[in-house]
Amino acid sequence: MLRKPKFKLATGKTYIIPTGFGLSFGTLAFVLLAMAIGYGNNILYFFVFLLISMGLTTAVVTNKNIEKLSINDLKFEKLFAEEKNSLSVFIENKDKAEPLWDLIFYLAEKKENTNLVGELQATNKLVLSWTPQKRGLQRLPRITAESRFPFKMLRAWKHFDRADKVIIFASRKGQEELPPQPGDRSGDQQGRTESEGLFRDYREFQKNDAPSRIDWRRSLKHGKQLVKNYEQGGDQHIFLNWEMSSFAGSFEDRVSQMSLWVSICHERNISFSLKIGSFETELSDTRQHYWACMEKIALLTEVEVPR
Amino acid sequence: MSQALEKKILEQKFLLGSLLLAGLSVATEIPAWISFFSLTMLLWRYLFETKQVPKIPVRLTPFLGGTIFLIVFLQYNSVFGQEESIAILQGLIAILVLNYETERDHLLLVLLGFMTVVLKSVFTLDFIWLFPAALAFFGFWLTLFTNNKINKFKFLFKIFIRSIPALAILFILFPRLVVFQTKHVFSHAARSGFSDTLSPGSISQLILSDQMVFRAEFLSPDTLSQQDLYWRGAVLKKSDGLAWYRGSLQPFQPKNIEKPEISLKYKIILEPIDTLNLFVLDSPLKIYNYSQPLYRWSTMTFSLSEGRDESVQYQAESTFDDSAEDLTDSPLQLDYIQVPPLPPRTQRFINQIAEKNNTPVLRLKALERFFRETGFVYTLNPDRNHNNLDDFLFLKKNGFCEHYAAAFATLARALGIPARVVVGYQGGTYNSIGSFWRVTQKDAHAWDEVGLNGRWVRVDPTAYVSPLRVSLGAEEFFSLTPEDQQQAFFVRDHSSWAFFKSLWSDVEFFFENLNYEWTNLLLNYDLQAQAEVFRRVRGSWFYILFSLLFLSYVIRGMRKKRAAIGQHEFNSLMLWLRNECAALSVTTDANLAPGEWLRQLGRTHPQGRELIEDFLADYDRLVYAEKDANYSARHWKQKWRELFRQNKKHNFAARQKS
Repeated sequence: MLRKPKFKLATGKTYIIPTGFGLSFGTLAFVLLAMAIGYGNNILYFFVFLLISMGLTTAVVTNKNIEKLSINDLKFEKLFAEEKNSLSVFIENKDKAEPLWDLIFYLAEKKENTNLVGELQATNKLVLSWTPQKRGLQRLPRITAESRFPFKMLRAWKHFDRADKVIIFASRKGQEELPPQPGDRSGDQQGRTESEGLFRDYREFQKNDAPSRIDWRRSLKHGKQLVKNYEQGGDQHIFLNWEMSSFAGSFEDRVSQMSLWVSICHERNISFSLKIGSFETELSDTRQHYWACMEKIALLTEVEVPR
Repeated sequence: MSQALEKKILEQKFLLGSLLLAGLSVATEIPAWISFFSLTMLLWRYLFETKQVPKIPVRLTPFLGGTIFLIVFLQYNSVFGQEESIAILQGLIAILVLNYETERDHLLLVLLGFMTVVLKSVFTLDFIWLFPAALAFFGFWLTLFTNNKINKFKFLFKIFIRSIPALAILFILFPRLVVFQTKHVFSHAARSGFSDTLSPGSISQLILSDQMVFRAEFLSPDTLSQQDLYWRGAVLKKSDGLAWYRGSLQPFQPKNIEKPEISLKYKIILEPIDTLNLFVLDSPLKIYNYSQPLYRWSTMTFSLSEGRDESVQYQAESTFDDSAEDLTDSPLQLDYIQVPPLPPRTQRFINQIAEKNNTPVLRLKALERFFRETGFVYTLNPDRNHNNLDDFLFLKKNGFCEHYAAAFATLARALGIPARVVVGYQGGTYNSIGSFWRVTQKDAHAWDEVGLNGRWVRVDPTAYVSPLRVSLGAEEFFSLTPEDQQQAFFVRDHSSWAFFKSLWSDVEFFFENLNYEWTNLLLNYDLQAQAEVFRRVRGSWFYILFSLLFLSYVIRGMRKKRAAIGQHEFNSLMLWLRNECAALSVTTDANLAPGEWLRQLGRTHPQGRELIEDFLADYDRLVYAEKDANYSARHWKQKWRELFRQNKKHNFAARQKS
């Protein structure tokens, strides 16, 4: 069974290139240098060399602003496909003398989800959001730290890559109602579990609800078909198996449905078991059980399930 | 970078200030209509941002730009020259200021600003003129910072200091090759100088000007006093009464090649003025450390082969014996005793002197007495029309150096004594801070040389008429009243007013010295100076390398480490914090451990919760992770004090409300 491994980042080289402004600045310096040569004017030489040397110093400052940055740790909880997940990034300034300024962090090439750190004295924590598209074992996207400090003439950046893979749980989509259990008193397709508790609220009728669950009096009053929702009881349990998701359609939709049910059970502290093909678990509400089931669903392939 | 930020230029104080400074520094180089256009655009922008006056549509911008190009072309018949470029540049900046909106506009303005500042140096090399341009230069850098937390001045200063080594290396090592030559148009350069003719009034025009001509620094331990400083420029041989001409020149041929016993070495930095003459003291031996071709004439003068538009620096050596004299320019030549036909009264006067004095020395003494004792007056505003020698000598009796020099030389020749007129500068103002003489057009002067015993001897008839002109120097002399100017002696004023005048002179000397060093070290660094630096470095490269390494080691050691807070400092900080809280009557449980005490403080005072959380994070880092804290004790004290202040204000406001 895969467990969340100890995080380790591979730090890449620091790259630096001029920005559009930097190129314009360079062109200007070149033109002025040509003028200084033409005029043989030492003040022109002085100003041009001052421009150039300040440009060079800027390059060193910009480079150091990224070079001295390290990512010490990266923390996250569960990662779900097609959902915005939060990655906590712990950054450190390795320069003991000066802070780092205007650092921009983003994942992969998606620069729209950026996080700006104005000043980094020693350490800091920042949160980056990531929405993986697929479930399964995947590499984390590379984290890029970028800086144009101080004069926006140069752009320096560094990538932080994770060598090992993390597991991305399947997306949680589908019917939020838990599936009906064998021996349910109403025999509904989507009936209450044995341990349903007190009445909670009303909701609109959905196509998978049994017509017998409709509260007709209430429905007439509100002009739409309403069914009752009940609180979960204290000693609930539920048996989940692959067949129950047959209404969902495609294989991926069924995987998402199973992922949703397992997540709901875990969130509501409902003891559950899961049967998918040859994979079968006992009733349990522990975190380990939840992780095992979610991992199975995340890595599930079509050949593992009965057709 | 090009996202629309709808920036307001009035909020960009550094950018606006720097643009105005840069514009001001080139105001004298651009046509008045460009200045007016720029100010109009700025005013429009001001009204747009403050009074919501509609902006000029952006689509009209190319039209405005094109109009500026067209007017500049019509005015100058070109758009590529020095003045045309700066005019167009200022016009474009004005248009950009009007349409300033995005970050890209901001960066473009900064680039154009840099260009304006640097181009200023094409027009002038004067330190004082470049001062506002340099201020604007640093202002533009300041506008590029986006981080508001940073101390911009301090950081820019750091960057500037770190840039100095690269700047020095580039400036010293970059070869000063003349690849292609472009002519400057110096707007502030002196445009006047000596011609080959001395006619009444020509020097008085120069004397009215304060323009710097050259600076002279003595390299030998011995120097000369004010009244001995005669900087010769040209020698005039041919006479037409009161008008004198240079005549034909002969190349120098040394008479004596023996090394002189006493010589005086000095360095001259000559400003760009319209003259080919190189100024030297009497009896010049040679001019050296000057790479351009020059002529040395038999009249002990030097001149350049062609005109120049920038300052030149050279060193010269003069002696006090005849070792510098020339074979071909002996006073015994007949040319030097030729005189035009003299007017009758002058002729009678000459005859009388010749009869009474039979030696050249006695005749010269008689002339001296004539000028000293017969009521001659030194004035820059003499009566007009004294081209006639009789009128000048016997009726008007007023004039200035050129009148006296011309008349004296003519009379000497008429008495059979070889004579010639020398034009140049006399004296100067000594800058005690920089130990150099500043010679301006005010010091323009004319004097004579007479042939005695086969040698040329300097005679200054102006000193007979107005001794103070020579002993005080032109600067001080012309500041006297006309009555004082006629006196033989002058007692300096020691009142408090004089003290302030002297203080002002010191300030002037200070800036003058800065300008001198600026010119000396920076402006005159040419291929020859570069070769000299290389020659010196080649011999001592090991020491230079060692010094640089040592310096870099010292600088690295001086880098201030972040003041990480230690356990001990943290305990002191906690004690301080508890005392401050007690002083502010904040009730807390003193028996709690630091972490718990802070949490309790956060619960009871939610307004400080954010600070307390950050502080606790540092505490955890220090105590549990055993790492350096993020911030220094000073930082935390500052933050706590800010919180206390805000809290006080809040409580006060709440009390006022209740």
